[in-house]
Amino acid sequence: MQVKKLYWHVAVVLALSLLLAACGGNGALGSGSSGSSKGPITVAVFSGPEADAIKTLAPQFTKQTGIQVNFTEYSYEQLYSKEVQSATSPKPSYEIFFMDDPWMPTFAGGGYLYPMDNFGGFNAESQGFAPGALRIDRWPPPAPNPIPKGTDANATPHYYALPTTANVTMFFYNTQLAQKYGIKLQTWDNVNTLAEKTQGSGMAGYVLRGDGGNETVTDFGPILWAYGGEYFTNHWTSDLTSPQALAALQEWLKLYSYGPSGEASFGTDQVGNNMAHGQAAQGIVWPSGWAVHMPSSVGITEVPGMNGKQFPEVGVWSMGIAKNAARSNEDFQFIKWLTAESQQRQYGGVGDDLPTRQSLLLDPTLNQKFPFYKTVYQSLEDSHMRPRTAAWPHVVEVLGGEIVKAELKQESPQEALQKASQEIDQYMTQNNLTT
Amino acid sequence: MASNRLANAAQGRRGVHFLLSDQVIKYAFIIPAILVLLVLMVYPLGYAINASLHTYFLGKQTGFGGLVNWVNAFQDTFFWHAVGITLLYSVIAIPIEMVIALALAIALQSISFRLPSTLMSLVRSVILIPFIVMQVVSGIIWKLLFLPQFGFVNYLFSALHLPSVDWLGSPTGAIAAVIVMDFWIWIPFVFLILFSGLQALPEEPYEAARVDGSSSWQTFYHVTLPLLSPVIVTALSLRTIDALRIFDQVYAMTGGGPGTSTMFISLQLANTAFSELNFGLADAELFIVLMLMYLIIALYYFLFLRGRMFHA
Repeated sequence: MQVKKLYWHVAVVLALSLLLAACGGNGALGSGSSGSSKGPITVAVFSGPEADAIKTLAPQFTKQTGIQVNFTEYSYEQLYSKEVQSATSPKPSYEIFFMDDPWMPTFAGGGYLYPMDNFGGFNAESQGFAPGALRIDRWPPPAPNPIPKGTDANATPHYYALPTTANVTMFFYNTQLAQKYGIKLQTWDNVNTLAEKTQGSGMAGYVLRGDGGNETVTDFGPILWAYGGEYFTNHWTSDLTSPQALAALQEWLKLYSYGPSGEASFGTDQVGNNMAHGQAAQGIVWPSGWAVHMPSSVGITEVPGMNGKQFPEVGVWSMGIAKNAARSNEDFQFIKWLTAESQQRQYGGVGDDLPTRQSLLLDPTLNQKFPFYKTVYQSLEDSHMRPRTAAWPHVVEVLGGEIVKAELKQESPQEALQKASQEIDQYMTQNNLTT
Repeated sequence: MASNRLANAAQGRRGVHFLLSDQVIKYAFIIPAILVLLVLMVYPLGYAINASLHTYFLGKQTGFGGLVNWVNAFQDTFFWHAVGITLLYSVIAIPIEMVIALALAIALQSISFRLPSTLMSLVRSVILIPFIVMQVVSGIIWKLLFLPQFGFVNYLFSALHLPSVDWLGSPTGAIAAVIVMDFWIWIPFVFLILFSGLQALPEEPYEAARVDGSSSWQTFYHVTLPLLSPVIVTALSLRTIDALRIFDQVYAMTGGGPGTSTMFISLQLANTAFSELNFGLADAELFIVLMLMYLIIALYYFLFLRGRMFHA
């Protein structure tokens, strides 16, 4: 009996010690010094066409330099999460991050990346990148984008990554129908007209990514801006309750009504497939990974606008070097090599991963093979960036969810925008992001 | 002095004897296992408690927040929406699964004596196949089956002259699709537990019931159910815990959509933790779910194993 009591006491003391030890930790995500490491350069990339051609070039780099490069692929949401965890960890999992442009406020603004001029005064602006692609890697962001709270607007800007894969929202449409009805798709009113004329033909008048989250909000952006709306005010409070934002959402719902059955669950693949198989007349699609696979009956042009202005949304993918990387010089060597003209011409020549150099997007030989390259360049120059705030992942979840409720008529457009606004403002206030 | 030395020596021998005694050896063998359990269970729980008391932004701890995450958890409409959806799905799916699985188990039990044992094994194995398939794969399979234009389910509906359903494009359709998929995956599991329980029941009460002239229904209600109740409660508890933790198959099939209509608890917590990187809030919500689970399981044991429902 006494032995039982003794061991019971020992067990309790052990359990309490472990509990206290666990509570004493300050979290595995605290800062710390990075250790040196040998072995390959580790790169986290997106598991999609935007990175496919890039990965195939790595063996060439290894052959030239002897430096091994290992890629780990993740889905879009996982990639962001893994990269943030690596960036904030004392022992990084990845040295190079493949980043979507809305993530730059998190990584560049959070101080998790090396500026490119850290490496022998490298001047990103003189390398020949398309200006519309390069500017997303600049921090603080260029005017007229509002500067987030905590960022010194007068600080010298640096480029914290190099653009690797060009991407910008483009408008895909059925050329035969547009010619048949003599409609030039320059405004959203034109789009509505063509969609209505398509009714009853067995083809959906318009298809969009209606499943909420990042995909829906990305497609919503060009419409919001075309109608004169914005996501945020200059003080980083939500501007989604404006009459312009309401008009944009009403237009979105009108376009949704022209779509095929099940559209509220559609993502990139469904929209791309609908256009590729002639099941929809019009839609916004990313050119990277899709444009090269479209039949000749699908034309690609700049996203429609209003009042003579178009508002395509930039979506360039870039590569940056983590501040806690142990081999930053070799990492820089790799991304500089990868984004050089020779390598970009190789993967740009395939058509899935679009190059980011101006000379290549306007190259006559490449344009003969991929006529949409020139339009992509023009769209990049006209493009808008999504709000430069680290809160953007939360914004897309909230707004995307409310837009879906409006699609399914669970809420009116006003209610949807009101609720989204309240939730976004609460998040911005809680995290001290409003100015 | 000599007597002291003798006394010390005797004490030393008693000490060695104590250490080598059966009692000590018995506990010494299980201490390593207990230590491992403590490390694997207690340390992570303590870590999670600590995290729930701190604020996070983009995965970085920003300071001690006290109960602010707990307060935010109770005000988090997305979280409570997820709890509501999960409970709705559980309340619909679990009772149906239990009834179908029990009926299947009883039916198979009743014919098991007439079939060769190899055939019985084969039948049991075939019934278990959906449960063995990886849940992510099940999610993908059922997503394809429920596709609005190319899915087999709508094809079947059109063959039966029924209107096609927008399964994955509407909230009701998506939840119904998840429930149907759930039947396919979990009825075999519940069947396995109940069938094993039925096989282990003693014969004597049944003989007594036959002698007393009980009908099939009376035998089932007054003999089978009471005897099987511990097994039923076990199956119910396991099934409820799994239902509250549902993730893989829903992530593969709907991703939580359309919108947030199939954003069950686990998906919502994963979103909070790994997309918004708010580990503090996610941990606080995790403990709320844990308490909810305990309450439900405790309720089962209170209701069903205190003899209120079944009377032997």
